[in-house]
Amino acid sequence: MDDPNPEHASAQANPAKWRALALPIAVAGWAVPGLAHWILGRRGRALGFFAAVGGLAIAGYILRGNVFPPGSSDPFGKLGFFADAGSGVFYLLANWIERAGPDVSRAAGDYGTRFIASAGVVNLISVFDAYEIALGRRS
Amino acid sequence: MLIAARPVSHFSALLIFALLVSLAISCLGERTPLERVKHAAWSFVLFIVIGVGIAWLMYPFSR
Repeated sequence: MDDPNPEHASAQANPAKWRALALPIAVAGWAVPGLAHWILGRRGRALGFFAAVGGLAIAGYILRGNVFPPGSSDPFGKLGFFADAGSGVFYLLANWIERAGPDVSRAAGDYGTRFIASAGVVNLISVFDAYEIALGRRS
Repeated sequence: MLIAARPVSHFSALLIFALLVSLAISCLGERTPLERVKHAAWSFVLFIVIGVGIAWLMYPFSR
């Protein structure tokens, strides 16, 4: 059945090509939130994901949440790192925005830690969504 | 960029979190822009109502 949404034209023009590119597109979506949907022609959704992930991550840094570094020996530290790193380029901005370091002695810092982790998890969900779209399992 | 921690209340943190996560949730799946706005608004309201509801349920244990 034809899809009337013109946003989807690029992803439907050559399904085999998009299936082959599913993994690189997913990696691009992880690196820059929303980029995978943008490549697939879902421009509105791409902007929505970028705003949501960026907003959560930057709010978390402003609240001075804890950013988990790689290489932690603690399992919770590892989980925290995977969640935080999910926000791609925003994870790399942490040191620039949050130069004073985390301050979890106050409630704001504790909220910030959750915001930063949520940004990563939301971006990972968007990456899986884009991957499924590229494979033709979702629209 | 050096930023001092901003004082933020529980409720304002809930509002910011609910707004941004509702936006992300509404972007999942195939919807028209109007359906997306309705979905985000509904999700936002549920976040607030359920969050405040859980807070009241915990109130007796906080004292």
